[in-house]
Amino acid sequence: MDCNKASMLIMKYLDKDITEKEQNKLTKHLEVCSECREEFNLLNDTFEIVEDLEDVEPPKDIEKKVMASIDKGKYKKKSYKNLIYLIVSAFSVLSLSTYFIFRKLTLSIPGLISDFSNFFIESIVKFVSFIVVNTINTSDLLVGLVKLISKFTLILPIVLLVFLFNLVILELCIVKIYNINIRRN
Amino acid sequence: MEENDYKLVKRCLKGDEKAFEEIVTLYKRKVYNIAYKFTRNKEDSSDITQEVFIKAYNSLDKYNPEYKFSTWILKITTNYCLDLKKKKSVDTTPLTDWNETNASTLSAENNYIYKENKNIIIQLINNLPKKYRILIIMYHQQNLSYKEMSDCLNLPLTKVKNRLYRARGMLKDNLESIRKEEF
Repeated sequence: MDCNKASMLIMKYLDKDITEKEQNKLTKHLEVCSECREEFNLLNDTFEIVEDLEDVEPPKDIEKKVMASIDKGKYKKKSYKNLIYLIVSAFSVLSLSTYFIFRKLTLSIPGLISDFSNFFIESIVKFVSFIVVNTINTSDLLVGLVKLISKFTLILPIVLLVFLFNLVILELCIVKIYNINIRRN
Repeated sequence: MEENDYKLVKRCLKGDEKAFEEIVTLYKRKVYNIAYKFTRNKEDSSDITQEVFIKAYNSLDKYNPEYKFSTWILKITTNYCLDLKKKKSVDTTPLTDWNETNASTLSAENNYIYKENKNIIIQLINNLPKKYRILIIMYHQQNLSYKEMSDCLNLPLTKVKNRLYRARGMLKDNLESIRKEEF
């Protein structure tokens, strides 16, 4: 065995990953090669010392210092805030779409349901503004809007679903109102 | 243990701050010791440990449970240590910092040689380039496996192995040159 191979086996020995066969080969080589023997002894002694060095005790107040510097609300607020953004955005779309569809309806059948639509829109607007005023202050709302825009891709499918659902319900209402209207005439 | 770690992480993500305190208690010793063995300075190690845990907390939602939590936190620690810009002052009294269980059984003369050798070795490890030093600390002082080191350092296993072999070789060469100087 040459010294390069012996050097590799010394490394494997230090890895504690040496087979019995390899260890016998190494021992035989070390018996005849003083240079490798010296290398082996030096490395072995060194890493024995290195591995004997025991751990140092960390300061006792680390937990306290860490807990004082982290944003404890980071994971609490997030889910709560996201929920509010979702509710507000869903209701805004709901009220907007309701407004436009009822407007169209009011124009096509004048006088018939204008009172009803006005009442309906008014109550939706009141409801949304009630949520906005009571749950979020203005600065939060601004931050929320920025976040809403940045998270648009995430919110978009939900908003679309609400919109579609809303459309279906309104279509049903229109059909019913038209039916009543036709029967009256 | 690993399952418990993940449970703690999930509790943190639900807003339970106590769970994060438990994580700090579980891992502060490991983090602090890597930092101390890397910097050889208690004050710096304390700062590094705090920074590592703050970083860990802030990116806890990015933790991938496929990896062991210990590997994840050590990854943050080693990255932090390797990124340290300049070497700050080193404690000048390292002898008393180390518990000397073995030394106490040796004779007075051997004890002296043991301590001397130990100090030289510590100093030489400290003088190795960062990327080699961290491997000696992780493998020989923190008993991490090649797989764990490879995950922590984002390096292939073979590269970690070659680098550790190279680090040992460098340490040996430096020790030899010191010995030659002495005689």
